[in-house]
Amino acid sequence: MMGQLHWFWLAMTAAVLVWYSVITVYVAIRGAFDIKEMLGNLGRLREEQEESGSSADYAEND
Amino acid sequence: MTNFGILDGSIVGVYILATMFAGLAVRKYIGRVDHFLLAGREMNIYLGVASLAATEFGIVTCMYTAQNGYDFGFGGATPGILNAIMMLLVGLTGFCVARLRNTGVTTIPELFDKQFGPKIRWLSGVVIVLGGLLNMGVFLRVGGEFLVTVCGFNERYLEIAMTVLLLAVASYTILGGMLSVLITDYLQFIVMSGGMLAVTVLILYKVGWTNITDAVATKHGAGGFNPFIHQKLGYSFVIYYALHQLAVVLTWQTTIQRLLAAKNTRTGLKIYTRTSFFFVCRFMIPGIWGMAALVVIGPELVAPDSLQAMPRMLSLIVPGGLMGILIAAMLAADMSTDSAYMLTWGSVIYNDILAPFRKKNISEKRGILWNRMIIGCIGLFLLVYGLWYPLKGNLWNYLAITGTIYLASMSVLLIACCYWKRANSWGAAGAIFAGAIIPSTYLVLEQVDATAPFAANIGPYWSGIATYIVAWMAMIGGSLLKPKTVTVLEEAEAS
Repeated sequence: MMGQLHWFWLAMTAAVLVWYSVITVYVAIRGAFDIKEMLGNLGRLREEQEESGSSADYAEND
Repeated sequence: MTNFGILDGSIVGVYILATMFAGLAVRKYIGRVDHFLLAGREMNIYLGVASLAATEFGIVTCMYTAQNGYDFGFGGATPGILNAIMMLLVGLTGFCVARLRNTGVTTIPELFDKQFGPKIRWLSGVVIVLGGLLNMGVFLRVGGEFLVTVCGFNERYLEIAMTVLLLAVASYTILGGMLSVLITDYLQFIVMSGGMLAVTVLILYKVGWTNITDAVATKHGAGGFNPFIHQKLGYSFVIYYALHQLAVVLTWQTTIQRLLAAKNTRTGLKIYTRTSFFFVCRFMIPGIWGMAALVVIGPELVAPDSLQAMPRMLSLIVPGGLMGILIAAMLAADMSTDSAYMLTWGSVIYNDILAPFRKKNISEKRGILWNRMIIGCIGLFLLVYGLWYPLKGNLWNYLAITGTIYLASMSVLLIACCYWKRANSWGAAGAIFAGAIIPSTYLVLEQVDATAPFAANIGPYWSGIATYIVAWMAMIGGSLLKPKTVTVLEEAEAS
């Protein structure tokens, strides 16, 4: 029984190291695109609000 | 003598400057309170995964999960496995959280307002903030102790180093809100993950897997590999953490804030499913570090001193260069946690606790100013309470008990709010009272010398399980006692 649990924890450790390595690289790449998209959307919203004359709230933060 | 050279200092310096620059650069996009608290609900899946993972892993997490590994062996990682299972199930089914996200609220208490009324909203806000801030109160000191021990710095620099770190984090959180938190979380996730993986590989290479399992078997016997038969764990430990982790996934405000900041409900649920396995890593990686300390330091240390086993081990085996990467990784972990926690408790204070005292038509500019001032006050609280609180006993138990103060009642309220139409304010008030009183009493009993043996006899796990049971009984009893009325949620559904 204890031997089986040794194997379970060894498999779990290997799974953790492999999954975490892969997800770090994947999230680093895809996350960068997410940031670009998010800032693009917020930037467009900002321009629209500035055009419609409600820019006071943004001006404070520039 | 320190273990921290010029190369290490340069790595840490570059990391901190890059984070500060990124965090401050996005403040210009903040124009509304919604942008400040939820990044305009524009967050997509992978940014959400990075942010959730970075937020839920700080130095304090690393310390208590390593302490679990040292004190309990592999069984100490059980809460992480349970957390991952609960998050995966909730992400796949949308249990509670899909309804929460669909309503478009900013915080959980705002949802309670619709079912239980404004008084319960306010009370829930107070319980969440109290539980959350007590929990967060130990972050700075524990983080500082880690850095001082690993780097071999003089202890008198602890307060100064952590004050500077907090000021840096507070500055970008105050100016950029959730947007800065997300951008810095992304960078911090990459640095933190790279550093943790590199150090884990080094530990496995230098200490060896067989030596680790032998040390666990020698100290804990078969219980070191199986929590059900461990002398200090057992069934109560597993049952308690199953309840606790479900409540965390459903109601922990930092986790929920990422769900609410997601572009839509589907994105929020995908963030849950794709981050779920990270919670196994969150316990396993520092757990392995803690178990490696059994080999390098020896098995003599007991709680609270066992908290220092892992940093002491790291100070002995991590070489120059990698030390800088490790410290940058741990600072990344801590900064992302601190910023997200300050923002999230601030959002509840602004949105729910101050709601009755705020003007209805407050301008966006003033709303953002209020949020910034609240975060500044939380930072001050952390400096005073966080650096001076003397911690006794097992750190993870302290965090779990203070967290239970709100997790038990808030999870009961959320489930009842989403799935039981008969649930009402009497039941909600009863659940909040019951959920707070048992863990608070246990914490006091544990601290007083005369009652400490009694508290130890009950143990934190049975006390925690009792909290969930009594909170549910109070919710059901209170709701059935109050005459039935139509709630805002029912009116909305009917129309």
